[in-house]
Amino acid sequence: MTIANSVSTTAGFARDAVAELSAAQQDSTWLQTTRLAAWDAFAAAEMPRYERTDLSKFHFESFGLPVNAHGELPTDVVAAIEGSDGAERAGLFVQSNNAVVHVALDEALAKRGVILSSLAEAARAHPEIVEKHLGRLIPATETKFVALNAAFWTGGMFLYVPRNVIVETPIQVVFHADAPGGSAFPRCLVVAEESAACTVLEEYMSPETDAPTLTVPVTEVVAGENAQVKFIHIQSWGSRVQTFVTQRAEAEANASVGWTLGHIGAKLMRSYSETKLQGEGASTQFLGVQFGSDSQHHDIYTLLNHIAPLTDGDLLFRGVLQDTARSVFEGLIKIHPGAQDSNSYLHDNTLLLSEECRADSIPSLEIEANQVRASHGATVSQVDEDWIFYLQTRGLNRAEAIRTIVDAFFEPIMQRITLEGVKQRLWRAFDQKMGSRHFE
Amino acid sequence: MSDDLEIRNLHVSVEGKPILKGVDLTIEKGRVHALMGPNGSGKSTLAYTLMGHPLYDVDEGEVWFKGENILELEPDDRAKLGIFLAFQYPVTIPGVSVANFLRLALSARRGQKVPIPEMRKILVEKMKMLDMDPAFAGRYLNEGFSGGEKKRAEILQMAVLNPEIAVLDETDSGLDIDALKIVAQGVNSVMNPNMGTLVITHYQRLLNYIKPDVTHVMLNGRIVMEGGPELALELEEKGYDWVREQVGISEPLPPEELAAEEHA
Repeated sequence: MTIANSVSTTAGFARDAVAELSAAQQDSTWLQTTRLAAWDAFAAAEMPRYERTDLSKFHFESFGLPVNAHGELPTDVVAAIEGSDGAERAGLFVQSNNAVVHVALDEALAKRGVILSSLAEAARAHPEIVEKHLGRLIPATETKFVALNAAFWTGGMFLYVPRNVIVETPIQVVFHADAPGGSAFPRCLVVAEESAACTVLEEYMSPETDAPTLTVPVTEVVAGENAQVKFIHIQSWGSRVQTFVTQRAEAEANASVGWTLGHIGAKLMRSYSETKLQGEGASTQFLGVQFGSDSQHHDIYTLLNHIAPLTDGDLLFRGVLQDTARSVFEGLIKIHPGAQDSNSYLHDNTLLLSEECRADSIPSLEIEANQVRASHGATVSQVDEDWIFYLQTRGLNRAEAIRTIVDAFFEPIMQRITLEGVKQRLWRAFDQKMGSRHFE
Repeated sequence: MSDDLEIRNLHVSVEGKPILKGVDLTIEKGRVHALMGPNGSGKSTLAYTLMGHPLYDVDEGEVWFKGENILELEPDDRAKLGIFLAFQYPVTIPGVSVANFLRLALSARRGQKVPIPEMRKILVEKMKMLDMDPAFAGRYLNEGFSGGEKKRAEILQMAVLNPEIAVLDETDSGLDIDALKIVAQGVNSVMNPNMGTLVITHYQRLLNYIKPDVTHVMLNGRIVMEGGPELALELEEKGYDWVREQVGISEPLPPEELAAEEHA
């Protein structure tokens, strides 16, 4: 499937380019103003400093503006669009480079007021929702990267679930980028109103290219009172992609937000993922899987942010590294003074398969309330030679033994993932990295 | 070509320290060989060397089985030839259920994936034979297992993999008498004329339940005595000092050799 059309831009990152893009998208005045303000925030902001991710050689000028889609969509995306992949879903959204190429939503859900559309279109059609929420949880002033996204995003995914509407099956979202030397700014806004429920299953992907690509995704998730939102995010960017991810959810009273994060691809990734437990009784769960190979660098930051009383947070992350890959996991539990009677748990484990890979795991607690339960723990360990030997004595060769140990290591996470397709997707990714097959 | 496993003049060291100093021993099909000896005599070293643990350096000697010097093979290739080691201290692998692990192992042994219904059938049969609760199959390998359960899990693996040469390394250690009986019954029910067994033990008590055809006594890295089942009983009565006197080794093993053996 070949895609054409939509916004074209010429110059590099510049204020003029923002204005041109905004005009071409037929943005409202509000959005146009927002974009230009974001550009100004970008121009004013310092480059962020990450303790364990060196950005001294990173320059925005190395990357071109987002471009038109021009390549072939991956076959599994085409299969999803054609409905031939057999996956059960309530809707499908596909964006390739700067353009939305496919949107479909179950008709019954649409009749009940669910909206799945391009964000640019939603900004025109539903300004009362978009203007209220877009950039509220993640303002352009947050970081230089977020500012650039806020200025240059095109297309974008917008999902709105009205009060009391339960979307049973996942909304599948694909962001695809195949513009070597260029950039992509995926943007998602999910708003689930009171007692609504939905699951978003998104994958960011790109083919192997011979030039570096920059991707800067920003995702905002609003879970109203008693709403339940599950957000599954898998990034399998190609090995020349540098990506800077910002994700923040807000959970109102008794709402729950579940993140499942799969960090597989990219040359360099810095991700920031947070749930703000804003209302009493809100809860959040993070499940994370990370697999670094070759010289990949994954720098993951998570925040369980307890603002209201009686809130629950639970984070379980597991990472595997091989070759010369590098990972950083920094997980913070923050409990504000008003968040009495909250519980929060954070556990991160990393398994090293080579002598040359390296992982840092830094869990921390900031607790300003006195009646809370919180704990954290982190381990980084080499694969145990005695385990390998034991498995070999049962007939598994060394590679099979290591694969078995890796699969067992991820099992506690996989057990908690309810969507079979997500598990299969992750196993497939590990198959590819390890050159072996998941046994089942 | 003999069907047996022949150990010839085996010299093994661990981190430069000689442990086995010329072991000759043949494990015959259809027979139970008891290997007895005090702590530090080299019994576990022999077990690990037969399986190819990377920490054990073979300095001299050969081990022949099915026309191959197995010392040149990877541990998994030895397993595929039909050699099995029941570990004294089996590892715990959370995340792998006993059932999945056994299917993985049997599939590796056969060189093709064992269908789930067949695997289920084998498991039900073998677990019944070993008087094991079927719920056991769903538990993670050795996680939270008692000493007896770990040993039974080893014997279950042996039953499923149906080896031709089975080495039981101190399978009796850490077991109370009831657990010992159950494990021994399990071993006896797995034995068959096509399987040779080497039962390594410090004490004679296991041999009340697993009857040896041959008894070998190891001391200071060598086999120093051989006899029938009666030798095990004699040893129990007279102790290892009697062996030392008989073969002319007056001193017990120096402490550092003990330490090297414990390391295993």
